[in-house]
Amino acid sequence: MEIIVCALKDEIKPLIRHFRDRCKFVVCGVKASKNLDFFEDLGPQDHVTNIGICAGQELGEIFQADKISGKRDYYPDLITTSIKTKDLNTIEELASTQMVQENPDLIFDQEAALIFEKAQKHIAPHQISFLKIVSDTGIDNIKDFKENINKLITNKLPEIESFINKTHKALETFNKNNNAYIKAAQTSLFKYSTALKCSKSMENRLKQQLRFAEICNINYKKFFYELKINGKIPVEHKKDGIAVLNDFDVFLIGD
Amino acid sequence: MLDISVGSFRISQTYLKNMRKNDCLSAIVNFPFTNIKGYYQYTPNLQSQMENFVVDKISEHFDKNKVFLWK
Repeated sequence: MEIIVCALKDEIKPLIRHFRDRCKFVVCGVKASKNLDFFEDLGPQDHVTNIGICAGQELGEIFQADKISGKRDYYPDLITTSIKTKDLNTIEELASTQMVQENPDLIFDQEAALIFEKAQKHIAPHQISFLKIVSDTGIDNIKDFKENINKLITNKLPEIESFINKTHKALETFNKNNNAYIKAAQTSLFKYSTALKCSKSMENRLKQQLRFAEICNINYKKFFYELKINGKIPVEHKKDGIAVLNDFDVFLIGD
Repeated sequence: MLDISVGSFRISQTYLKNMRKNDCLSAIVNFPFTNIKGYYQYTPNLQSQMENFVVDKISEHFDKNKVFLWK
């Protein structure tokens, strides 16, 4: 499920009209002050996009935040689309005109870093994105605020829709591959950890080795098959199991 | 350029744990590193192979005596 988070009601209205049937919507308030408990209930199939206006030099342009600076720096995963990326600075007050003029490579908002800070406790960086549309060049140049927001976001709906579609395809592929690796590694883990008389820490090490082998498409079953026909597994003692794990490392990395 | 330092990748076990959680499909972060005193790094053999390779390449263009290895 896609969850769209906006700070203001005026930001979310055009998005509700467009994505009504396929997304959930959350208004988190300026400075992300409310309604962010929903992160606790999210699963690996969910994705969150924070969409909103920001201050910057390129009026009307939409950007994907690749680095978010607040109390510290955050790095959400990026999706390659036609939307350009830019560093986003989350600040406490509205950006001044001077601040915007002095930092042409930055855009400014009041929520993103706070949202990421809360999100990262519950979801992975590939499950959250930040899209910002430049509405003003600083506090001194804000005019017709409410009408302007609606227009700015409505103009960028095609880009936002394409971004959300692409994000969901990527997330689906990620989860499909991840589940396949987990399943394959889990079956082998059960089989080989018994044969190697693994302790808990040995089991963790074997799990990591199997995961690496699955990701890199290494035929590790051949390694264990040869040990088996040579009578080296199942082992009699745990220390022999450790020796096999060391050999397995060598096999995997060709050291 | 006065000198060049060469060292292979090493990282604290807590950091790598987070990286493996966040980027579970990456072959790089899932590499079977060796944990030495709380820091994951390449096995000593692989480490010296990699470092020697880089030093040899650098020495083709730079005085080898000014290339320092992190040990």
